[in-house]
Amino acid sequence: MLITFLPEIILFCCLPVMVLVRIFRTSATPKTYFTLSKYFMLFSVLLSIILYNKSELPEIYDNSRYTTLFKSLVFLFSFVWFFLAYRWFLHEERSSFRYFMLGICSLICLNVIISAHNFALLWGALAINAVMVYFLILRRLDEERIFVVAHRYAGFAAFFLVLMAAGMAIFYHRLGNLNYRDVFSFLHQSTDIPQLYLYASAMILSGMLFFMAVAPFHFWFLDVVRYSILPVGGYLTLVPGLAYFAAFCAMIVNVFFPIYGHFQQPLIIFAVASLFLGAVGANGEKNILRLFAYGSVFNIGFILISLITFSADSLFSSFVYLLVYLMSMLGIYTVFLGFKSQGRYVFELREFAGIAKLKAYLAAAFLMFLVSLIGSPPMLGFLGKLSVINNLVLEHHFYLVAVTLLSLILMANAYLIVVKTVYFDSPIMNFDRIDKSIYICLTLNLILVVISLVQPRFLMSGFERMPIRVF
Amino acid sequence: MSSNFYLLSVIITLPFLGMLFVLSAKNDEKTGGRNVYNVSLFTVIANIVLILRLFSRLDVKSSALQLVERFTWLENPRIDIVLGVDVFSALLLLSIHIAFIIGFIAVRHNRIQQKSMMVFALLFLSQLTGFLVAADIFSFYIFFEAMLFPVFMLIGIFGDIRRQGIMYRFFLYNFLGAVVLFLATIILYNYQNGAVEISKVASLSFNGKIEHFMWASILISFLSRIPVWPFHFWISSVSSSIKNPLVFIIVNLIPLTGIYGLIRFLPQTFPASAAFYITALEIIGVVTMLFIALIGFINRDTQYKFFSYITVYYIMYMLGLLSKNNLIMLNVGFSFFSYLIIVAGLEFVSSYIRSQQEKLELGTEGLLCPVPRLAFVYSFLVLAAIGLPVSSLFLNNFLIISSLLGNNFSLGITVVCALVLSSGALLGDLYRLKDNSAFCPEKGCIMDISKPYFFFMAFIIFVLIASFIRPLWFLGM
Repeated sequence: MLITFLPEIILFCCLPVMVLVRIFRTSATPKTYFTLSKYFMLFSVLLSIILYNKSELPEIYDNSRYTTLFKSLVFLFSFVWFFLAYRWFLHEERSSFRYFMLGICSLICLNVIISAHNFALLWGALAINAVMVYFLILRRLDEERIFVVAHRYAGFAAFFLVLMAAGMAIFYHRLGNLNYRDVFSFLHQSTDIPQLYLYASAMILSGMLFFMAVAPFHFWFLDVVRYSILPVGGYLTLVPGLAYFAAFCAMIVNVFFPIYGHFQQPLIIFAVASLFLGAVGANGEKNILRLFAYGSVFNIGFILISLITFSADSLFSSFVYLLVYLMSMLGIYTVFLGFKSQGRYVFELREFAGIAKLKAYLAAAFLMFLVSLIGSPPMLGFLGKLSVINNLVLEHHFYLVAVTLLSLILMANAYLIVVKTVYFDSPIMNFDRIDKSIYICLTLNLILVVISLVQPRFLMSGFERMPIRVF
Repeated sequence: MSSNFYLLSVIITLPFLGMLFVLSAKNDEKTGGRNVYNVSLFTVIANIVLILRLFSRLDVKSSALQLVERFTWLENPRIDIVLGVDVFSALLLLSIHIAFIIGFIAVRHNRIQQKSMMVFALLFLSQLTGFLVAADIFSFYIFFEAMLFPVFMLIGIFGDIRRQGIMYRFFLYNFLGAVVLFLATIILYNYQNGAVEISKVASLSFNGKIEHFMWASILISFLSRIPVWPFHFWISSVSSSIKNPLVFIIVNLIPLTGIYGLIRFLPQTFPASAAFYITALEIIGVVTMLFIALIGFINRDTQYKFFSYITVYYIMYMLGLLSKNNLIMLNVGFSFFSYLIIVAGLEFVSSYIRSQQEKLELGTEGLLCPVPRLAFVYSFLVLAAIGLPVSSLFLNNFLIISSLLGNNFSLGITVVCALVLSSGALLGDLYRLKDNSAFCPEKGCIMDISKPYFFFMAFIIFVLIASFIRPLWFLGM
């Protein structure tokens, strides 16, 4: 049993060490906590890879290539973002102790969410993670509205967790346990599924859709990203999505596949709603964080629309899109960390006016990531768009192709408004000197993008077998 | 160079590498943008040398794609990037590069955003080159869409006060066209279970709705680049808002991509269901042509007259292609060679005149009288532009008009009217500029072009005349 949870246990050990450092080390800086997190994360991910198929409790906790892939990606994105977050805390001269503590706790939960093959375990991890996110949101001290936002998030998260719990209780009442395998067997063997179990399944899935910020359950995400501090907004945009995606796919394929036909139409509606709400919302947005939060909702819609049939191809194409989108968003958030004027980070669109004239390299990187998000060749985003649209055409969902491409044009218009502001408007303020670490991260990200673009096999090789593992 | 040398890849990559060098070059007040300019010019000249080398390896008598290079880009879905070239695309490559050189020389003394201009110009050149040597539908689409971005940036940087609206118009029309082509590409790809070479698209047969959808998508995507109603709004706005000669030349190369797409994709025999659309397209095309030629004739703005001339000719090429006359298809390549150089040359000279005129606050009447070198170059280019026998354009006009008159007399006559109007517009402008009676030396005179510029333009004139005498003169054919 120990070996099953060893990566999570190692990560958990980071927490008391951090507490001890806080107590006994007088000069604990953000770098200290980042260094601690870094080594524990590294050790944990190495163990995840070494023990990729070791699971003594396969009925409730699965360790496989599929879960290891997602865990590794979660660690990779967390590592990069924690590095940038530590630079943020250093410049802001604020304590990062709680941020890294909550971040590590959240990572443990995300690991469990990825591997969970039992609804109770999944629910527990989701609930604890929601609490961590709640406290992470509250890390912002200079904004009164943050309490409203955090409480609203907590309220809705609690509501959807209760909804999920109710759905799970219905299955538990019937089966006596909540293992994926047993629920799957029950749904698979029943020729005529009673309505009650369909409702129960819908309750569970709606909870997952809420955490994934799929429209119409996306409302919490926009304000959370807008009002929380940048390290938290970036973390919530980049990291949990991977775990939720992995858990959602595993849940549909391993549990609800026999009744998936009942949910396909609602999922299409949610996906289309996400696409258009995201695209239309982004077009009217003046705050850059909210604009990209709308962009995230749009991208979630794109991923969901690709997933619709839950075939091996659709899973692979949506995964490629997710990865490409996250790489671009990582670049975008890295750029945000460089846009600072008189010690204050700028997030209003009008404040971005003419940045290209003042910070040419940063603006150029920003532009490249924006073009990638539009999905225009030759940028990496094209790979994601190609993968999704090709899959939809293969499955003869031509009307979905039309809807997706129409929303893409709308979304591209929103990004072009940003490009126009950054490049063609006159600057209205001066910008501070940029931290070298931001340049390093951007350069590395761009090198990765270029390599992936020239040789997408580096990006995609091995991942093609990923769907085989989930089924 | 060894036989397996990736010449086409190098020709695409070189402007891109040049762009990277330009990015790293200094562009401060001390250097006055010289570094940036020299690197850009050297890149294009180096590419011209490579293109000439490419010609020496081409079998010019063969219409098949040659020097084919194939790279596997993606495993799943399997996508191979195939590059290849024939005489037609090689001629276009050469003329585009010469047009770029002319554009670069025209912005020699530009001090505004020189670095940005050169970066995006070289990026565009790289992508346009890739587009012209793309031999499979995926690489064709990739370059087709990718070239929009540098143009968007150039319009944003060098457009006038109306640029915001113009940029969105440009984006809306062209991005929509690219999206439609993307869809057609994906369907073609899946329909054929793998990458399809462009040369085979024309001979593919589809069934029912797919056939309608495919051809409608392909036509719309290419028409979005050609200034035909209702797709012409973006290009007329852009052309009238751009005063920078290099950017003007670049923007007016966009319709070329639409015409080139039509040449590559149009089926050898139109499906019966397409007959109505072709007729509708011919009517729309000819009405747009006449309308724009008329506006160009009435308008006194030289820039708009050029736009009118360029549009009329692009539509004429399109109508010629729709007539499915093989002789015309062959001739279009030779004709484009002169046409692109003439357009770039005219823009170079007119931007020079405009800048001098604005500097001295002079009217246009008699402006060319005291400047013999400029007057000679401008007069020659105008005469070549209207199709007099001084360039390969003459033969093209002759062939297209005779073919159109033979196929559909009323259509042919309308085209002739439009051509006469656009030629009249250019000649009227030339007459005004050379009107001795209106010349007043007391008001001041513009400066003639310098001797190096004149010799350069004389060389361009020599190239045009040579293209009239023997289209493949540089190959000794």
